[in-house]
Amino acid sequence: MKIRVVLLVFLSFLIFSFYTGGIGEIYFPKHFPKPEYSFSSNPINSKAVALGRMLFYDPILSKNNSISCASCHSPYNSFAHSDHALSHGIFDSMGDRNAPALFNLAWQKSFMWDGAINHLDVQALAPITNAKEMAESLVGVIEKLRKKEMYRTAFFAAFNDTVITGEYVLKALSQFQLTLISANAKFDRVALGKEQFTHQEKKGYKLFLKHCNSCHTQPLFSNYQFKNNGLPLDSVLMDFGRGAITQKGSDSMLFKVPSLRNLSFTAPYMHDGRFKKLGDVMAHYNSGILSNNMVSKELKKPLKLNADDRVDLIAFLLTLNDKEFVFDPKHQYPKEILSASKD
Amino acid sequence: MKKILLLLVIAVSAQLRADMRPVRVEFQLKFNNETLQLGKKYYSNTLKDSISFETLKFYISRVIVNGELHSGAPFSPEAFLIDAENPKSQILQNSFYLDSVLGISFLLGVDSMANVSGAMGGDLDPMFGMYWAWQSGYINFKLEGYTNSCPSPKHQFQYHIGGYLPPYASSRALNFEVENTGNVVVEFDVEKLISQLNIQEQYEVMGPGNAAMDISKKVASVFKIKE
Repeated sequence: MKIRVVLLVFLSFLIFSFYTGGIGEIYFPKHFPKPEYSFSSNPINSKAVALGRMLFYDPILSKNNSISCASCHSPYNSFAHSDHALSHGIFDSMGDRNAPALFNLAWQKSFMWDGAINHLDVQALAPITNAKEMAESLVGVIEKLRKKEMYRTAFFAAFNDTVITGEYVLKALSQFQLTLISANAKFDRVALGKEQFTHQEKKGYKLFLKHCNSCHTQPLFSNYQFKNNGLPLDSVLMDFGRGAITQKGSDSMLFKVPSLRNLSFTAPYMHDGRFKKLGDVMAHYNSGILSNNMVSKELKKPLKLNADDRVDLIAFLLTLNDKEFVFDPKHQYPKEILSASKD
Repeated sequence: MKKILLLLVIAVSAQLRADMRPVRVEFQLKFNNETLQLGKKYYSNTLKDSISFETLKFYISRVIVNGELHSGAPFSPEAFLIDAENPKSQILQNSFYLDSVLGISFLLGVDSMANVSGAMGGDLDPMFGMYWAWQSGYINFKLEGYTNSCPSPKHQFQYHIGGYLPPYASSRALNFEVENTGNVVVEFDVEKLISQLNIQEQYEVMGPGNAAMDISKKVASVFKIKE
């Protein structure tokens, strides 16, 4: 009797482990470090990725079905929000920050400009429930999804369970976002020996390594730490960034270093989108940084690059634009949603 | 699925031992020794005022019951959400087998590992409103209600107690000896918490910090084993 039970359990384990193994839709670029995301607790499978993509583009996540994730994270802007310094959500409410670009999320330890979120899975809860963004609740989303045949089918296919839960909604959204890997810019092709920098890009690369790489560390082009880059406090927004989360004075006015990848697609720049153009950003780092003891040590000395150097540096930065990623049809609006809105 | 199978194996093998008997752990939520009913108006001797409750929910995790032969019997690695609205939640479902019951220990709240592990299922699913959206982390204990003693809009008080990062880690380890050898009944009398709070002045605690730390200690002090 005992042996039979053990055998049965063993067999079920075996079958189960094969079932969830799946074939990953994710690739890890050779020149990237080890990812931070715990894939073992959310094994990638193509059905869950497809479901996550549907959810990402479906305004069903918002209270009045008007705002989707893609409303502020547009694929054509490398999943940032173009033209808007501060991103706006439901009922045209103006948010407090500039929606960051989304890519290479598996390599990030925390999310949001202030790092308030500690895991990609729980990131989506913030915009879904924020009164100025989607103003919905996770339970509200689940109730709406459960009424749709298309989603009942898609959730079953993705998680092999007849019940739609909060865990599955969040894990599916993670799965799609984890496939947003940007690793095919000219920089990457050069790093892998497939292409060469021009003379000017090479000069710019040298300047980059000297002046920028300590925070915007290659190949992710961010160390994803929190820094004060010498911006004056906006007296209306009164945004103290990381300090408001940790309640430590030493963290006041620190914001997460954003990646420089796809920078031509992600304007405007900074946590409050105060700079419209790349030139404005360059001017800030060259001569606009406040001089006080709050500014991070890497920026204590002004850059003071001459006009030629600035042009060279920009030439290199443009090699971080990954057009294949930005225009990848696999990441764009899934047509399945259109048929779903009928039922 | 795997977990269910594992529990099955544990349950089956435990049953094979004749000297073992099932142990049940129950939480009884009360107001002044009366079973707590949400929405009902109570009179608080502390406040000298009426008070009613809309929500009382809290997490219990790392539950271990100590017997004579076996030093501990963990229920499940996950947490249990005890909810005044759901009587079923107040009896821990995964019964197990022990020779005798001498004590119980548990964590009021969710341990720090669960707070950094992304989206979880079961009672830890963020859909139960016990997970902060604006800043990652579980709400360990939630108490909401109304009393005219509270000067807030609608006279509402809201205590959302959580936080897992030092110095504001607010889960509390509790340990009790149990006199009887039968089922374990843990009592939580809300009036005993209200009497320790300054509800007239501090009626909204919604994030990690000193206030949450102070209240979490007071919440922990209210739990006791039913005689």
